Amino acid sequence: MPFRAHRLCVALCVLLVSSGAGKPGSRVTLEDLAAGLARLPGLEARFREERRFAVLAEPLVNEGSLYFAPPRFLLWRVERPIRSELLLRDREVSVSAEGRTQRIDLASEPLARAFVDGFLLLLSGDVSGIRAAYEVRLEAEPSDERWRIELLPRAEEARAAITSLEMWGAGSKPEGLALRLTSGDEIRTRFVSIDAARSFSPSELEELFRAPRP
Amino acid sequence: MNANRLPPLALLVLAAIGWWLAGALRIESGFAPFLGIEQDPLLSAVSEALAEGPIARQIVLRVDGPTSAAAGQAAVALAAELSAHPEIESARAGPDPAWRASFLRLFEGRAVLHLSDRPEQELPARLSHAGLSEAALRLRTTLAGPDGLWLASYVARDPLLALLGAVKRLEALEGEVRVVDGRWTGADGRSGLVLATTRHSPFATALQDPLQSFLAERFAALDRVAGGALVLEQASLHRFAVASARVAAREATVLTALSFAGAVAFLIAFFGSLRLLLLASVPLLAGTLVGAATTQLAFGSVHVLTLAFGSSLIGVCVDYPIHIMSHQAVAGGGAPLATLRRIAPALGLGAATTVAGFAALLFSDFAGVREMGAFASAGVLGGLLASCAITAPWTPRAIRVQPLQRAISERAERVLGALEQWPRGNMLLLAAALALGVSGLARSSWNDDVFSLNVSLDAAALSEDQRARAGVADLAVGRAALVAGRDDEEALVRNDALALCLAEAREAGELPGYRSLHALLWSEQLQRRNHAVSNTRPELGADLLSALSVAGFRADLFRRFVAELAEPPRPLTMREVLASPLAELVARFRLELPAGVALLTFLDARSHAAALEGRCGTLDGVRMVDQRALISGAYRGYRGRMLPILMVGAVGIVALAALRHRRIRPTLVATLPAGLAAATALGLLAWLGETLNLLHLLGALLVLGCGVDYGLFMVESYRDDHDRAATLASAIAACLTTVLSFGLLGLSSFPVLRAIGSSVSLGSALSLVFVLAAAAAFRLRTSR
Repeated sequence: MPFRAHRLCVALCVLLVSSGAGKPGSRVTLEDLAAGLARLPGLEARFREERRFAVLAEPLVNEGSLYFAPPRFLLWRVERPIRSELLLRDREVSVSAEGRTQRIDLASEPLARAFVDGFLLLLSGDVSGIRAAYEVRLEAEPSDERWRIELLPRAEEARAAITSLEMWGAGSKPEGLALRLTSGDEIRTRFVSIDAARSFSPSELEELFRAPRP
Repeated sequence: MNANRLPPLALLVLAAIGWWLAGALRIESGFAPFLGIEQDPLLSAVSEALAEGPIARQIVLRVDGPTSAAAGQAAVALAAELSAHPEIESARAGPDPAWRASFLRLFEGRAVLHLSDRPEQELPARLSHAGLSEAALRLRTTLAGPDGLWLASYVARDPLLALLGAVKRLEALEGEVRVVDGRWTGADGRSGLVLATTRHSPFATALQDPLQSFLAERFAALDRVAGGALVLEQASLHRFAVASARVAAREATVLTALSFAGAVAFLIAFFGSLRLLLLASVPLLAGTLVGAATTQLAFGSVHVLTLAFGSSLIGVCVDYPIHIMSHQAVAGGGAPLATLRRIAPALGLGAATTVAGFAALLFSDFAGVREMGAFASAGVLGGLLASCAITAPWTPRAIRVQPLQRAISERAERVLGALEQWPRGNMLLLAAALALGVSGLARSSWNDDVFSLNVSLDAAALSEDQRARAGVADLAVGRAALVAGRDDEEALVRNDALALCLAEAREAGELPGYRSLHALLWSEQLQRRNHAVSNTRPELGADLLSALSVAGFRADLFRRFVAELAEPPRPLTMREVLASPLAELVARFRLELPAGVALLTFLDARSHAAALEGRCGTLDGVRMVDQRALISGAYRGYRGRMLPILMVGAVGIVALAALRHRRIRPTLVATLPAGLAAATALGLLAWLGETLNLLHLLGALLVLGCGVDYGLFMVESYRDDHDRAATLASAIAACLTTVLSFGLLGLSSFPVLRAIGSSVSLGSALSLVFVLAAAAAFRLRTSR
């Protein structure tokens, strides 16, 4: 299913920064964020997503939860107003909604691919890879541990769909992200109740990240 | 003309034919052309497309590795290697992303033409006040859901979400193969897949055999790099065709070498001279050259199967030199041409009757069988002429009768003398043979499935084929629904109707799945009908904007779509699609015919054929095609028509013999044994539990050709003791060489070779026995 990995993008962006808490009293660098993410045991958070589409007078609002078990599993679950799930297992993405499950081909969706690639590069601590794929703008205030990172894709295909991805947070707590598309549409997501030290038991892994049957 | 100049001149003619053939001969190896059915050009074209079309030419390769990543990388590398092979048209380890992008470009701005494929039934409700409100809410819900992000930039010109449905149809058209990160993967997610398409038919084994070797070699190299951890499985017709051809070549080589060695050893012992053996082989060579040249001229090419089976049929030509030499041996130093003149009526009549029999094949509905008829008829004539023009003049005046020839001759004379003592017993023997043949044929079962005449498939390979194919290529090779039209538009109109019918069939459980071009392209007529129905309500645009506004949309952004409701865009055409990267996808479904276009819809192998035929087969311009059933049905029909044709041929043979002898008994002795032997051989095989097929009938035809020769030679020479002895010896020698040549083929694992081998060897032997019995039963000696 084309171009539906926005939630994945959002979640991955959160992950990009969730473990990137800067060292108190020093400047936060991309290397710090990457190294922190590589040490991430897991993540669970609630989110509130606003979809600001040009065709709509008011934003659409989704609420739900996300779960991340590095390095392979991510579940982005919308609970309100309509339930849907997006699951990443390795590099396979599947979407479940209205009783149907479909797999997404990342190769045909530059948007989703750009995020997955970025996520995996950061997870592996491959800072040079990140810099090769994105132009990175990082602002951090050591005094209050607040940070803001903006990723601008370098690949032409990704640039055709995405203007920028912006994330912000404080310390080890990502607080939100903004995904801006070339069409002018924007997705803004706020995270609350973040557990950046979440670890999953084998039964939880099986329960939450079970491979769907299309 | 001086007789001495005749052989060099004839050889010169043969050399000229050979030289011309070397440049002009075009050997056809494809399967479909050989099965071409003349009665219906459309079905013939479709049959060819199904047998050699993209689905038949597809190779599915499954690469398993220690990890999904390793398997995927190996699959990508293997696809790249294959792409470099000249026989590979395309090889991919994942879908072509250009298709989707191209589809979105073509579709953009044409949503108003693609609202429904049942516009008259569905659109009035969907475009009513209530329907529009519902559509606006659905649009809102969709934008909030998983499809929302990519759709958001399209909905201003597609608020009724036509594109969403179209994209889902395109995904279904591409297949249900799992895609991970742009790579096809097996159902377990741990294997990589490669889908390759060859340029030529899977049955063009001369091309596919090297490709299979290349594939094995390249995969072995990849596996070495991966430390031996990779496993390759393949599903393709190519593999079975190549395996089959390899077995055929091996068996044919071994069996032919054995039979050839046996025949040569026998003939050397019979004639005691290598020179005579070479002279005896000249008519066979001449027959093959003349047959091939005639076929090339008449059909524009010669099929490999024609060469194989046609060469067997003209094997009867070896009878002529054997007959000439046997008679020369007993002539005691007379001029060979005088010997030839003496036996010329028998040779000429024998050849004429044989040609009459083979010519019956010319009336076949099948291109391949007609080719064989032309090849064999012309070949026999060529063989006869070479026997007269080369073999006879160069036969030595003095041929020493060899001990084997003398022994055969004397013992045959004794047997014949003994048989003549019991004319009624011989009559009983012939009657019993007739009863055996008739009763056997009455209980015979016939296999008209020409596809099953191949060698039995290896169980392990079949299992591997199913594993590799699972979930990737469930569509049946050769099962399709077909629509034809004078042009693309007419075909697409019919295709639209067919797609609706197949959708109903799927709902009814008659059809698990299908792939139709309808998923990608609708007829211009259907697109215009969409607009026509949506344009019947002048206030539709205002109502839509109102509904969107109520649902929270900024209505002013949808005004372009509203304008398109009034002034529709140009319909999407086949021409546009063919000019895009999607042309490769369309080529799987579209056939250009001499008089128009045909569109194929490929059906799941598990579809309920009869139910589908009843439901959709009656639609205008629609035909349900089961290639296997089509070919088998046509062969069954041809087999039924072949019998009267053979009867006409037999009547012709009897008439020729009667014209020559003008008496009943000689005519019966000349012709009855051959027909009886052919029938008895088939009947006996049926009693032995053999399922008969078209190749048995071809074998019977050859038996008729040989058997009539034996009978005619015998009748012609019966009055003279020396001539009769020579004829007995030559007939037995010819029969033994035939049995040796074909008998071993009866041991082949190929039903095709087994059928022709068993029927010819058995029938040929019976012919000779029945000729002797008939001569005795009808008191040929005393009837003169």
